[in-house]
Amino acid sequence: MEKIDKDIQQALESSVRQVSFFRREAVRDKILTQNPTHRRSMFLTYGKPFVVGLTAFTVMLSMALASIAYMPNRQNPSDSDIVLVAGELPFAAVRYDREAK
Amino acid sequence: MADSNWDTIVIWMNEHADRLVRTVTAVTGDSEEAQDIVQETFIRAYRALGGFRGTCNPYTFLYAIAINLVRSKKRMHAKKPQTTTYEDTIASEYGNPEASAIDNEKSRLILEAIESLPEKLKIVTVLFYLSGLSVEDICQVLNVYSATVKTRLFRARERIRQYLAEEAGYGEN
Repeated sequence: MEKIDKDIQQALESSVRQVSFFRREAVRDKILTQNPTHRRSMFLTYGKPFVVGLTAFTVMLSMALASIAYMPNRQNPSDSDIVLVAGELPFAAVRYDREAK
Repeated sequence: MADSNWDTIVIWMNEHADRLVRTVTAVTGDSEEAQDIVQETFIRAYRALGGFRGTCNPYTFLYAIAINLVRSKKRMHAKKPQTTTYEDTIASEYGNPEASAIDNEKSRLILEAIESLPEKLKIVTVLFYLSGLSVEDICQVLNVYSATVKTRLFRARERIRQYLAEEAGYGEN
């Protein structure tokens, strides 16, 4: 590096040595309040898993309710060709009577 | 504000903000405008972070945004007079009585010479000498060929050398 290079470097560095960035909070505030991308990313961060979880819960709940509602019993056997021989469902002894139809 | 993009911006601000604001100050000659530009740089970087593929260094990404903002602001305020000049800056910096009067004078002349350079030469000079970017980094920031950067650096150096020789008789030293 020649002397002129060092002189240029030194002159530039000395001219801005005391300058520093002091607007970090302003950057944060602007991003938080004005940037729609941030709101969208907040939804992607927190909203999407919440929606997925809620959907999964709803599906499982409806399956559980459906299985209770359609649980076969002595009065309401699930299949018309099953004849209960003894005991209570689901441990009942059953017989398939294909001719019942 | 648990957001990975924001976390990245915070890291980048801690690592590069001071150097970036010094660079912009040296190019614009106005530290207050430099604060505005660097603030806007980080906001734009946050918005553009989704498209940042990591093929270049974060600082070249930030410098590219900042230099584009400097250029667009210069176009917008072409006729607005500068509030701070290099002479003011160097005068306050060299208020220290221990500073050499000769070096002070020479630095002042060099800064005057840089200020008188065309914008393209000035930007390359500041990025190379003050920011410490390599020629390859400057190519990425300005999106030009390395031969162009080298030519601009050579021309800038020659003009500064010529200015010093004319103004104060500083020769090759």
